Amino acid sequence: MKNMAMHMLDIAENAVRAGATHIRIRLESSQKHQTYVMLIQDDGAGMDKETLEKATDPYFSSRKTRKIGLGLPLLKQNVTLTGGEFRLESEPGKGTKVEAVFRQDHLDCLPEGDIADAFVFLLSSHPERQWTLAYQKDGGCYEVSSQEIKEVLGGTPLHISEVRKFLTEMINENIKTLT
Amino acid sequence: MRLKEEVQGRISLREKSDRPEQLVQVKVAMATCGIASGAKQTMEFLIDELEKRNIEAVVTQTGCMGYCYAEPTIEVTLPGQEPVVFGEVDVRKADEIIEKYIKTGEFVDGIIPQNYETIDNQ
Repeated sequence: MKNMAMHMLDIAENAVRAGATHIRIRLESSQKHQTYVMLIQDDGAGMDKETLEKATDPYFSSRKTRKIGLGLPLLKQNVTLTGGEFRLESEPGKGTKVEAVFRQDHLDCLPEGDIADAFVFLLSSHPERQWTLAYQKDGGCYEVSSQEIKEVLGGTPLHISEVRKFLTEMINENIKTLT
Repeated sequence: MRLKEEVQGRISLREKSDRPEQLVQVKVAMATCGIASGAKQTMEFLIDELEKRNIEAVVTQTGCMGYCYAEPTIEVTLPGQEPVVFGEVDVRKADEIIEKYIKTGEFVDGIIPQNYETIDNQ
């Protein structure tokens, strides 16, 4: 994966496949601590202990079409490369929580990419789910949810290109104002 | 909101056609392998361009189809026809697929043969 936004997209798609109705994404970019935290929490099927242990093994996948699953292993690798931390918590029937703490001061830390763009893509691809994005910086936090967005848009579908562009710009503007 | 009105007028047309078998159906493989190779850009391009070029189509996501070596892959089903899978579909290839295969039914390079039983099923 080339950047954080791609990892976010990938892990969030896992949540969708696990049948989650509400997917919460939290990003914390701290200049002070030189960390970048990505937290993705869902209320999907979850994993039992045995599956959880194997989840970061690339030669394991819960899918039946093939035997390799690289989403979580790749994220873990990219986090570990920066000397950061990776945590995975899950409970059957309750959901899964993926937490990745990147060290921003490490040379191998990935660029951020377009977070707003990836979030809007998720939202418009899966409009039937509930999505929340919280973006935290040292000076403040910006939060946006699919519910708020739907209220503003009325019945306008999210997959229309102008709508996606408008939302991406709006979220990006809000993230930019954070310090 | 001007955007809202503008968009709503346009889509009411499309939503009325509730005969999915008459629409072009496009599935974009969006598993880790697809995402890492740029399937997101391909999917956005397809959604936007099919709309712009007035082709009635539904673009949806699917999981990994098992052709990780050829990502991004898409499956196109023209009305009344068997699905066809194309590999290495970047934005340029997607444009060619729309212009040739979707519009005129003419095949283009990059088709993945249909004997795609996974190893498990053989």
